[in-house]
Amino acid sequence: MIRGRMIAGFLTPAILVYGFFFLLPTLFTFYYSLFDWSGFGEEKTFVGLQNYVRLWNDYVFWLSLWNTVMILLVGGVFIMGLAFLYTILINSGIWGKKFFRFIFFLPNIVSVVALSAMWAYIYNPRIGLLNTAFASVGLEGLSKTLWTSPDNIFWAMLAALIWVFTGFFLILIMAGVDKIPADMYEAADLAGASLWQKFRLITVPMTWDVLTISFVIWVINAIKMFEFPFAFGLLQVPQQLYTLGIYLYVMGFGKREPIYQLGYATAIGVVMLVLAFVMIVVIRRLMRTDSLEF
Amino acid sequence: MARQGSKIMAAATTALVSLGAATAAIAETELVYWSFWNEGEPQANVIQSWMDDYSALNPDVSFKVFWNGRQNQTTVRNALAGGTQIDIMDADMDALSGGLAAEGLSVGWQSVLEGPSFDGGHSFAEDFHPGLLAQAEVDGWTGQIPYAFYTVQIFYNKAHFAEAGMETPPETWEGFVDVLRNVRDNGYNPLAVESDITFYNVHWFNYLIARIAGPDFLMRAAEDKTGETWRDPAVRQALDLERALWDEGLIPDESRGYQWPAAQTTLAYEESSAALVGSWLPIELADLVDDDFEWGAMKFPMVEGGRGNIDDVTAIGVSFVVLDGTEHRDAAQDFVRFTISEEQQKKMAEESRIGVANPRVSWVPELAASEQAIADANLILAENLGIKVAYPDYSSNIFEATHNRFFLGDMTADEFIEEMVTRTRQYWENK
Repeated sequence: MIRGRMIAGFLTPAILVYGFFFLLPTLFTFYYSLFDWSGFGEEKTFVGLQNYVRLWNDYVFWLSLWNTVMILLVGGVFIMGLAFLYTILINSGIWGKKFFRFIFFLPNIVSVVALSAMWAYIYNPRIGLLNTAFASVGLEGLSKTLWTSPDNIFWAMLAALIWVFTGFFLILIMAGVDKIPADMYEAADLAGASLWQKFRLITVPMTWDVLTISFVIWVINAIKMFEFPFAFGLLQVPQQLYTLGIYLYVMGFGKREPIYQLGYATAIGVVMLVLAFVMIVVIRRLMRTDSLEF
Repeated sequence: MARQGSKIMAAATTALVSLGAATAAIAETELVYWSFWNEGEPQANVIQSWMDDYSALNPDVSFKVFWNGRQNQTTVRNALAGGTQIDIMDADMDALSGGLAAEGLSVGWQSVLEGPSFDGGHSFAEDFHPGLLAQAEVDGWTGQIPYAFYTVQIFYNKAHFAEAGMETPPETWEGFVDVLRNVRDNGYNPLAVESDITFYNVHWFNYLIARIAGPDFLMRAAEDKTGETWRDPAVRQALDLERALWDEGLIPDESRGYQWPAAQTTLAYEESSAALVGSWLPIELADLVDDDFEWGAMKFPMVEGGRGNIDDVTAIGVSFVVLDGTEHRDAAQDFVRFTISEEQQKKMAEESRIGVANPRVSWVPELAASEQAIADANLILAENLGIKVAYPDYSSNIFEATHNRFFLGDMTADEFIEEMVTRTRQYWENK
């Protein structure tokens, strides 16, 4: 009884803070999404589910959702794949493990604006690093590519985004891999296992919990993706780079245009929340497994 | 001894009370100003000097400033929702027309405009270039006071255009394109275009459609709930003229990949020769161009048989708003009236090198053509010919974005027209 009271006593402040700063605003977000509201003053018009009907018929919303899903799936495959690949390479006994880990993580400690400015230089059609490099090795065709033209800019941004995020997940996965007892790999070596077999039969199962957490973190990051594509757009974000987060911002906070539709923007926010929730439940169900102890 | 001590205490108390009273008398009114500029910008420095000068003239008025930058209106909106007291703020004129002014959160200026100017001898309304106040109105009501603005024109390298044989700026589209061809044949890229800035690129269409079909066409097209107005032959003509600029190599193909400020730096390095942009360009590039670089600015040319007027010019203003909830309305409006006086406007024109509202104040030499365009203007055109204020989501998400896809060759003229018909109809069905 006393123990129960103690637990309740310790938990209550945290629950109150969480409820006040997260649950309550979340409920209010849903409430505001039912209104036509500019955000100037208190005057709101109740429109029921009209904002959601508008979303359903809104071309830009679907474009933003498509871009978000592309970031989630294509970006996710490359980020996780590269993070694993680098983990294997760095853990293969090469010199300078800490150095490479630092290099890969570096983009995470640099300002997003600085990173996007750097990529703008890399992609510049005339003096950019990429086209200059292609030209210098005789790849004239490639050196004429307009990486930031309307048809290429999303994929150019995604490539840069993958580069930015890979380091973070590399650190997570390496932490999981480092916990695997070395004797397992030694036993596998004695049994003549290949690099691929060791990866599939030891590394993946033994880091399953870390992978699950990594996927969940990536899903959350991808669905609320805002900063990097926004900064990549420099002065004005082209619609080709809109994510749900950017579209929410454009519709709710005006940017350069006097678009002040806070009710509509919160409806986008609710969709993002639901999408993240569903994705996380799906991932956790798909990746559910018995916990390993070692 | 005790009595002497009491006297000293009484004297000290009296002195302190007097000092307090004097302080209260000197700073009775504190105007809270939330600024569109960032601290340290030339415009912010001028506004700070306005406040200092005004306080010197009116010791009972002091200022509390928040330098918020370009997202000021959004920041103000959030602050107002939290009950923050703000007296004065500023932002883009069109953004205010569709924001605070449209929401009725700014005080009206009609009676002040009819009253005397700060300099005296004429009404306050006469402190503005003709047409500028009209642009600041929403449904005939003035809720903001423009103090500075930019014109949108074709800014060009005078040396390149002289080399191409241009003696005076062409007044017709054909004449303009002929000069551009000569510029191209001389080895320069005639026009610089940033691929990602839709609100720069859309000026080509806006000016062309205004020159061909009149300045009210775009509003009619946006308000036609069937979308069919977009099928008007004038739209097709404007699109074809835009497309020809690319087809003839007057805009280099690689511009499709330019992200701001890539294209404008080619102007500074004299690889390109002209751009359709706001009068901020010469100032933005001032540190990059050679000392002998000379800027010209021409009015957007007429199209043969068109209904528009060559003197109609697009302007982008910056305005003050006195907020409806202010407790210091008279002081705030008086301060704004003060900022439009000749002496104060001269400071803005010279120190921040920007166009100013007061027609008695000259602009800096590199903006002489812009000043002339404003002086000649029959009509000052709003951004996107007014639809940015009236239907901002349509203007940005549908019109500008679709136009940019066409402009950069991502869709044909026919596809653009079909898309605008469809999405205009959907927009109104979705309202």
